[in-house]
Amino acid sequence: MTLPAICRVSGAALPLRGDDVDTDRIIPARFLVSITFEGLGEHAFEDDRKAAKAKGKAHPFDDPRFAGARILLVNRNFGCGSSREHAPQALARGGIKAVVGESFSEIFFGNAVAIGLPCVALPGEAIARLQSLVEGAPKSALALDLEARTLIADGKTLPVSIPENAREAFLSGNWDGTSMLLERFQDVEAVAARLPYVAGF
Amino acid sequence: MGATAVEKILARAAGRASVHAGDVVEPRVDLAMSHENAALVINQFREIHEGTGLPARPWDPSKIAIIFDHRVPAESAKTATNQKRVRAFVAEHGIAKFHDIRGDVGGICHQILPERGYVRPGMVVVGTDSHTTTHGALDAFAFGIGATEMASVWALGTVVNVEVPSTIRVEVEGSFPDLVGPKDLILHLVGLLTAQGANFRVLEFSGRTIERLSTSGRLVLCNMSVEAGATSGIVPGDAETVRYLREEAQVSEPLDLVASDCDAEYEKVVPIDVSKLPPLVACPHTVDNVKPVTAVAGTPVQQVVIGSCTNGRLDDLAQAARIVRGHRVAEGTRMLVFPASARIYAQALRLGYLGDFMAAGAVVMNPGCGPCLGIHGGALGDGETAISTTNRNFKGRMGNPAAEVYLSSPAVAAASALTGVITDPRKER
Repeated sequence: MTLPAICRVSGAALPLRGDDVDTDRIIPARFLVSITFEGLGEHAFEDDRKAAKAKGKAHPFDDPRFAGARILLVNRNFGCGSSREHAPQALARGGIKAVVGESFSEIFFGNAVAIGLPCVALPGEAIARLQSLVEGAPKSALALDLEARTLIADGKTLPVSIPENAREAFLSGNWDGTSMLLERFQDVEAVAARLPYVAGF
Repeated sequence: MGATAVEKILARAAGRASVHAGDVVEPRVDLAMSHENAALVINQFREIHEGTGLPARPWDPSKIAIIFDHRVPAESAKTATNQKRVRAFVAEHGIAKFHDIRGDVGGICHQILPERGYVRPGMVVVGTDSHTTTHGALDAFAFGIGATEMASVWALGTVVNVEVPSTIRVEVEGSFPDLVGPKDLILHLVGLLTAQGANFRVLEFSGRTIERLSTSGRLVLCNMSVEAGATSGIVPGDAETVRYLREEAQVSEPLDLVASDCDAEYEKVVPIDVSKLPPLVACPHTVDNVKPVTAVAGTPVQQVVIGSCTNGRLDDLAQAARIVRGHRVAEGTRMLVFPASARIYAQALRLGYLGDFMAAGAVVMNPGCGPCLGIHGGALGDGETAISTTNRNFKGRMGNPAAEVYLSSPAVAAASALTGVITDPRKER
């Protein structure tokens, strides 16, 4: 089993405005009791969505105009707070294939890499323009290219940034533990051979 | 060019002569910590071995620590079953650094690791919890990771793709005024840097104030470094580090302190003079929304929480007990106290602090994460407000998105419990 390389993500986008969106908001703590990530997709931003509904508004995740979106557009320091991997898992399982934002919290970013969800950065003004663009024309398709480090939107090509080691991991398909273990089978076997209870297994 | 303490720790762990900020390394791990989310790690760990023909055995069970603290005792059948699964894994692999739900050796992971001497200077520590930054207080490089990443650490004994972070040196001078302390300092710093100001960077604490600060206070600073986005906080080892490990953690092995070189390269230096610092609070709903307590004094609070991996240590309880001793918690306000570990609980009991709290009307809860993340006791009602010595005030954090949480030192929280409104402890005494 090898993992697919992740080179391109294209599709409609979902604008989610706000700086410092923390992981408690992305997936409230009561959903952490499960030992698998199944079914988390429907609970992403659950409390924010309920609060919006109570005010008679539609949260972007409930807005039918953005249904089926694959690229999430966020602002600064997205995913700060708890290290819960459930946060990127909930987004990915809800259909999001890439996140474009001004900046990301470190643990969120690492968790997103580990599950194959690229997060790329653009300057704040560019993000704000894209969010307005998508709010005005919800089905506009965006195209992210990790190979070229670009995002094509509204006929313009914008350069995006992503740490080089993360980009290489996506392009080579080495973005999670399974593929890495397979790639480095000898290392694992060497470790296993040193362990008294595995030797002679 | 010299190296920072973190660069030295990572160079050693990666088997290199030297590394510098920006290099990508794969350090070996000295300690890999999980709490109840070990259940999730076990699941991912088994999954990555499926079909490889290899037995799903961790690389070195002596370097894995598992501490139950997030939901103790279990709040639901589902949690109890998960905890049972983890116990079976612990028994199967002989994981000795396991702390179950017990009144003698239990507690919050970020207190258990230091007080049991599991963290030593120079170590690389990873944990499936963002507040793993805490352990930098003992001169280690400690940071939070996700469950899938932890599963790969359990397999390989290393963390792959670690970019050596650059370091911001926080140079602290001056003596804390009365009733002002490390919590006020870290709130001030988070407010100054903002919630993302230290993203992908280490906060290194130095200066005469830090030299004089106890490990308990240093743990507060490193614990909340993550609230400015930092990869980790660190206090390079010194005489206090050795004293704590010898006297309080009963470590007898040789210790290898790691200090930053004088010509180490820092991204920037943030000087702070604490001698004029007032008691501070972080206002809803972000930790960097920091104001002097006087700006929000008089705000009614229905719940006061003292405890957690941030401020549930003996000196925190002592400070709060001194304030409430002989007084009564205000009518209409609930005061909850949860010590950070069973050891601290027992010490506070012996010293009479718990009796002081109970006589004042506070509820003393068992050690654990408790109300901090609001899934296990101490939830807030709609429209209610709490002041808490914990580390996060995000919307919904204390179990209710329709409630508000202010963060403060134990002194501010205890003074507020007596009046039922946010109170400047300097005024009340």
